[in-house]
Amino acid sequence: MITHIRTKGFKGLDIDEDIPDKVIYNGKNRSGKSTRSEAIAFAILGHVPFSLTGKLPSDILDSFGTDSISSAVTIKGVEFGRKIWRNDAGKVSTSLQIDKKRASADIFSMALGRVGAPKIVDVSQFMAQSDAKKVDTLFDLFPNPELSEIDQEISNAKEDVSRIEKQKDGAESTITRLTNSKNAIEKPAGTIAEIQASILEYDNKIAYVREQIKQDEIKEAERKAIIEGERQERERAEKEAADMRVIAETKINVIEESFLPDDEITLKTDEDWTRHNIDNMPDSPEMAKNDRIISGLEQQISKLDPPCIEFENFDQKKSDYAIVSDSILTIIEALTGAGCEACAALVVAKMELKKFKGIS
Amino acid sequence: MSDIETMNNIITGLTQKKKNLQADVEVLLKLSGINEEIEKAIQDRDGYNSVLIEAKKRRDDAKKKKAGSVSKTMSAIAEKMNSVLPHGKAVFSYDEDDDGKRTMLIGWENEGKTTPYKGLSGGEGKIFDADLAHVLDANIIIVEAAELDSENLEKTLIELANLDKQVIVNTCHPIKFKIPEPFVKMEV
Repeated sequence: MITHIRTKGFKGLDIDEDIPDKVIYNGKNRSGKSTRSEAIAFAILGHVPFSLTGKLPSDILDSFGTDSISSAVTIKGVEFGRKIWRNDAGKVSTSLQIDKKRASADIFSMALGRVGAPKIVDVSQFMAQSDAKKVDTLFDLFPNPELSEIDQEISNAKEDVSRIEKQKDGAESTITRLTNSKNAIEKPAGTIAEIQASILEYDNKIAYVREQIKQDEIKEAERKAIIEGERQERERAEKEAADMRVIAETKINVIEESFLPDDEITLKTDEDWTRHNIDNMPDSPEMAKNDRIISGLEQQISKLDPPCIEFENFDQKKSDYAIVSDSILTIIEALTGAGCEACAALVVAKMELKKFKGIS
Repeated sequence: MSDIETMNNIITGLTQKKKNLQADVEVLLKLSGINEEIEKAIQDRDGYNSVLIEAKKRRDDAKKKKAGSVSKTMSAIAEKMNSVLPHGKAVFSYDEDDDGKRTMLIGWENEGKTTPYKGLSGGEGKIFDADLAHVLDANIIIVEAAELDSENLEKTLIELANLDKQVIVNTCHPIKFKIPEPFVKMEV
């Protein structure tokens, strides 16, 4: 409790008087009522609440229109004094005193604490604070031990909510991204099982056709072997016939040469030959024999001629088969091109084609 | 074109068709994979949703708990204030939104109507300031009572007279009522 106040030049007042514990200062305006309150506050706080002065000593001097103010209050018998002044150079200084002896701010503060820590609250300053600071101030004054625990609980729950919301948003983004990806893909018709069944069907078809090719290749190889054998046989026969023809022709020449006159006769005209033939009429037994031999040889030679007509017929037939075969192949191609890999028409065409294998 | 060539062409066609189908299978497998991932993400989201609901409930419960606890504190503050208010009730209301922004309403309720601090009249404001200083733990209370009428000044003095604090009241108005003890009037 402040029991005494002493001021000098404080808003022009010099005061030196006791203060009751509960006092009503009553007087006209400008009589010094508020000045006493301000002087008390200035001595304790170092500034003047409830007024428009600033907190800086220079502001206070400027507000009061003076270069020096001092105020001291006595609490529990100890006087706490504060003085601010501006020197000729304009520098503002502050001096603190305890029982009229200079003291540092710390000592001054500690000494105030020892006498009960007088506390003057500037309510207007409190109300000017933000709501958050007001709350802090009030909770400092009215501590609620369970609040910090509850605040921690709220903080943890908020962190959980924030974390889970992020995870949920992440899942939502994933769903959106995957759905977009899915929508961008054109879905094929049928199920995987159905398509795999179709693939198996195609495998079977491919295997079947490959087997057909294999069989055809075997048949083709056999056919080529037969043709080659026939060709070789024909060549051998032709060679043999040619050899025999040469022998027969040689023999004929020998016989015919024996009919030629011994003397040198020039048979230039038909008349020469007629006369020669008359001279050599085939009425002689030797001549008749030679004629029979030549005739026999000529028959042999004629038999050695290749069966041209038959070969011509074979080739013609082969050519006809090739035409039909090509036609059937054209049909098969058309059917295949139309996607008819396993239709009845294709099967029939293939069967028909097989009839010509080995011929064409 | 020979029969074998034709059949080879058929194989080529069939093989291509097979490849197309295999590609379709791959697409379907990919779609199936995406569907599985979507399903998993949906399950995750739903799981997070339920966990989120629980977490929000925990948070809201804790907030309610805090509101209750704060309410007790506010009641204690108001009670201290009410002990010195000459009439009516002090209102201290505190709220905190989801972003942690705290709001505080300080007012004076008279005859069922609450007036926020800033809306108080000059005289009411001075009374309220003095009492709020008491709440704010001041041990020297200064009341600038120039704007208080005689009735309110008397009531205020009566309330403040009982406080174990130093009280300094300044007024320019003549005092026509009996000053409650232990107040001492000093003419200046």
